[in-house]
Amino acid sequence: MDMTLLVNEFLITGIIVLLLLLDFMIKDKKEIIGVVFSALMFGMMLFVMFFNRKGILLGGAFVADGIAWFSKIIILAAAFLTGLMSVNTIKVSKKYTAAYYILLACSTLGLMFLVSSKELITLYVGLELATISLYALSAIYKNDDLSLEAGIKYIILGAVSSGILLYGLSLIYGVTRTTYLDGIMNYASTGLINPVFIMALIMTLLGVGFKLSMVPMHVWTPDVYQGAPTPVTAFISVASKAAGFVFALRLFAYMFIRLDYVWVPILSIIAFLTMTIGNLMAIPQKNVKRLLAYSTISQAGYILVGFVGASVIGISSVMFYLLAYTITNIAAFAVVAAFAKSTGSEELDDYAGLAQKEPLLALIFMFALLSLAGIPPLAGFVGKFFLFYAAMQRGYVWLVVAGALNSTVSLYYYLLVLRQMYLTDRKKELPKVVMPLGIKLTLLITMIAIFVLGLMPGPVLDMTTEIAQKLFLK
Amino acid sequence: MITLAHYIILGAILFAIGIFGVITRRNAIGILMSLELIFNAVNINMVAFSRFLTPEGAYGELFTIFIITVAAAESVLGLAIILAIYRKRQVLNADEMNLMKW
Amino acid sequence: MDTISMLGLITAALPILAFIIIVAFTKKYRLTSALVSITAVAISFSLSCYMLYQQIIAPGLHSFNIPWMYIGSLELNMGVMINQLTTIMLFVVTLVSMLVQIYSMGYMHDDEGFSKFFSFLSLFTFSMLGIVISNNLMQIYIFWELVGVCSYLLIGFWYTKPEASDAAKKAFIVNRVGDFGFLLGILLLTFRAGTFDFIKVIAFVQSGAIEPGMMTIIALLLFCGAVGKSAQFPLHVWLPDAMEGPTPVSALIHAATMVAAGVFMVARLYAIFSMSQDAMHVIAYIGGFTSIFAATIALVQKDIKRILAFSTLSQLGYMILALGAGGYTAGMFHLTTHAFFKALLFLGAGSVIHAVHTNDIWQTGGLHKKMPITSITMLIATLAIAGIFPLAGFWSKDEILVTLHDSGNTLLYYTAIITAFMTAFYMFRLYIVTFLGEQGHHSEHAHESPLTMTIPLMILAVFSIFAGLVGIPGQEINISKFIFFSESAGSHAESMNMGIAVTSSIVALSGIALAFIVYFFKFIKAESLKKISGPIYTLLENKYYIDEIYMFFIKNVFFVITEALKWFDRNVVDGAVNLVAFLTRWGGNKLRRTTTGSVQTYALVIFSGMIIAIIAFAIYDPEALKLLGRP
Repeated sequence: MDMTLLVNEFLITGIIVLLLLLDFMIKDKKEIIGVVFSALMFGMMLFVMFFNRKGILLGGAFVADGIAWFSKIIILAAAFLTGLMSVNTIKVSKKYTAAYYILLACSTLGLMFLVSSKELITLYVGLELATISLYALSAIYKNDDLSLEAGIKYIILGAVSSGILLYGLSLIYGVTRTTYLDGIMNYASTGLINPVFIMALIMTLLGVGFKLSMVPMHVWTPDVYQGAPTPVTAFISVASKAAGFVFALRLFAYMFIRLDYVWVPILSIIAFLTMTIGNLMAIPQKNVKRLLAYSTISQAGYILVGFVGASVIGISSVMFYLLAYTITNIAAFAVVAAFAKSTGSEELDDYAGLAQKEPLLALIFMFALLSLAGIPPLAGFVGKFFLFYAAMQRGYVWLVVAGALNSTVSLYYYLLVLRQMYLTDRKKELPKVVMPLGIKLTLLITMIAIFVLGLMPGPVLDMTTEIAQKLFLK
Repeated sequence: MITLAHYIILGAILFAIGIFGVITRRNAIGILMSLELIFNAVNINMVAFSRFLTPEGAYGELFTIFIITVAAAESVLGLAIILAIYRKRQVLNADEMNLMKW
Repeated sequence: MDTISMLGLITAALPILAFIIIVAFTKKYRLTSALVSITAVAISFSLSCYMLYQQIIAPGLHSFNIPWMYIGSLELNMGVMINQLTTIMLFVVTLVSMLVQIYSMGYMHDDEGFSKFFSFLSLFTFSMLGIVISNNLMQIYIFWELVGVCSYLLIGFWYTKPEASDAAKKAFIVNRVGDFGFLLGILLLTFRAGTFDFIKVIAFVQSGAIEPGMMTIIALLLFCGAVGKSAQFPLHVWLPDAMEGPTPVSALIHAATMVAAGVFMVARLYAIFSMSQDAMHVIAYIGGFTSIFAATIALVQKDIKRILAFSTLSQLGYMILALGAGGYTAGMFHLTTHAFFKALLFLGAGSVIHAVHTNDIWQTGGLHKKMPITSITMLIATLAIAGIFPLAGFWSKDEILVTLHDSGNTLLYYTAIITAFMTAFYMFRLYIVTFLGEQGHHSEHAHESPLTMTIPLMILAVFSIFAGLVGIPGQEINISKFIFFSESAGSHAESMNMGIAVTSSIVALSGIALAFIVYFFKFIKAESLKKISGPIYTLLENKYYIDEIYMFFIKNVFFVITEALKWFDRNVVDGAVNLVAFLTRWGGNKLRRTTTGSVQTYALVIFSGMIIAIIAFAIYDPEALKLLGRP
């Protein structure tokens, strides 16, 4: 038993304890806790990046492989940037500031466990640790009606989906008599498939789909994204979604790989519905966070297109897109957070004339949105291109056509935002947007990453391809 | 003689009742209770499978213990949020918690 | 990596460098920004001249590749490919861009966003040069999109005008429709060929490995891109509206960048298009239809920039028509000469607008005396576009007509002849009304534009006169020996088809004559003559009677046709675009009502989704699902 494989998780647990202690020691300047949190998360990210140990623990229940490594970097980067973004923008009282960061750390810990798990119980516990922390985080503004409502909606629908997931998992356990993914994979590879098992597969797919906000499990997304504090929304939309996709990869691209004739067609239809519904519903939105929520739904649809794609290239393209999507979305939400902090508004109409007042902020928002729309040479373009290419490899031309059409539609509402910022005059006087250092750093880092990933995706892509290949090597 | 099938059917019925409750109960606390039913349906499945199919290992029981723990945490958090909403807006019905829509 | 391709890279890189410098450092210093931008493009221009010279003395292919990324076995490169076609395009683009930038120093002098304007122009030039030097499909697509983004920025430059911002959005979205087809074509092609590289893809296609039906689909999809960028029917709707941008931008878009990109792409991938005869026919007919369709609309416009915009559509249709009919050299030759005189026309129009502050030609008039340089250079450009011997337009038009004549397609040949007639007519209508005749009430305070604006006009006038000389048949130095496509090498270069040359001249001259009859002599008013001379009046009236019939014909019959075409354009074609937008919005609005805000509705959606998925699986037929793809 090589316990050093668990060192990342132990360290995060240590950080949680440290934050608790800091809460007792620091009386007034509670922002320091946020700074410490961000710094530690950044340190953790570097640590994970360079302390790259591979191995299997607990009889195959816990694994440190390429996918886990890569997605832990994404999760920690998201946690780090979220922390940075939160320092000066969250409006919680001193009493709860530490709780906010501790919950964020707990959620990070859960997500890290989730991506390393190859056993159903571990997966479930990791998933719930992450999600319950997020329930609490989205309702943390306890004097804000919207935040509370987001919290209750998130918790009820989250519980519904984990009920469905668990029921599916219990059936899988009943049919295969094991909770280890490798064991289940052996069963799924025999070729004699029990119909109950297929039903379980569908329920599991839908249960996981909640995290990915995939149709029909997307219903919670707009309300929760709108109501939750903006940094929390950013975290939900990237870290939680990335971990969800890794979970889905482990289940489908790995465990059920032999059953692809079942889930690939289903997933192709779901991918199509997800991107189309997300895009269509984004168009009439007036609230920027809600608009971005629908946009993330459609982004999940694009990522599902990559699932449909061939095994190695598909996984590689999904991993790459997750990274590109994470940094882009964080940038977009950071702009929204900075704007809301100074003006108290999240309405699209109030963004009118932003380009004249805050040219830099508007420019960054433009780059983030164009990257989401998949305009070269930004990160989103390369990512989308590989997703579509992967699906093309499997002959899903119609899905690629639908995806390309959808990204044209998505351009329409991104342009609506750009038009507000660049081509419309300010209707009412709003206070000047102050950009705290944390936000500035977040934007700087994400902008560099968007351009670097867009212009030189080679190294990262080689990495994801290698990771995807190793997944199938025995 | 009570077989595995009986337990599974009981689980399925409980699951369906839970779903029905979630969709129809107006009271938010009622919805939380219905959710507990769904989790208990899963628990019955797990324990039954474990007892009948893998009597040598206690995977199902282990899973059940975790589910119970997690469900308790979720209920606590859910109740806390409902309480906060009630204090602020004197609202307990789920269909009145619809400030955000469209 | 040899010197020539290195120079090609530097040529393209300089404008982006200028863009970065302006954005990062010199934004506050107006003059410095302009100088940085102009210096960069001037160096690019001199490099292009050198490369052109090198290609003339030693034609050959220079290229290099930088590996960018790998996905599976697919290799993505960034690279440069320089051959005869590239150098001639580089020359045209850098020259026109340089002159437009010099001109803008005068034209945009009082604009607040002076530095910003120059940074955008540099970015635009860079994107276009990127298309020109591309050596693979992916790269050309990336720059293709970048050109679209730049056009959005530039057309919407005066964003406080709602028309400008709408026009910018329209240009971007209509172009995306075309780009969508283009991308699909690229993907299909790459998917079959396994590479993006032009040379390898062309070799693959020429080996006949793609079945004819598929080939036609691929060629037509690729052509979609050109339809969008080069504003061919039915995606031409953005170009007339794009007039809302500053006039130098119009000149740049219409002459050397954006719209030329489509034609250039067809030329670059000519080997692929020529593999499918069906696709070539479609291309030729779309080009022919666009040319005559746009020409008829140009007859009745009164906004000076709109007349020019429709004439661009018409001329682009000409080029596409030539390419579709197998006239590779002719199409590229016309692209080159057109770049010069169209840039000149736009810059001249800008000079007029600068002086009189109106776009309506009926409110100007008699500007010749006030603005002699503008007037004379505009006259040269007008003669050139009308195709008058020995100006540039004559030679390239002649080349196209010869191609069409030789292709044996009489319908397209006569379409081109009629279009040439109309072109001469409406261009002279524009010239006569604006510069000759009585002074309009807006022309009183007009004065000649500053030197920064007139010098580019003069340089372009020189090119408009002499650029055609490289195309004189039978010459030692001849464009058809320089850029050619396989077997058609130098086919028309040997001798001149006098019959066609004379026909086209007569057609052009009669168009001009008609313009003079209608718009110049019209100013002899019937009423004043009636007072002076009663008896002669009847005779004159008879004469005018004929004229009036003609006017009646123009006003009522012809006008109705052109109005109908205009209506069709505005309502049906535009309407289709708007309908799609409307349906999307409507769908979005309907769908959003399903989000009721009640958590129980959401739970209902989730459970019904689950049940539908399970039922769908219960009646699941693996064979049917295979239709979705290959699992």
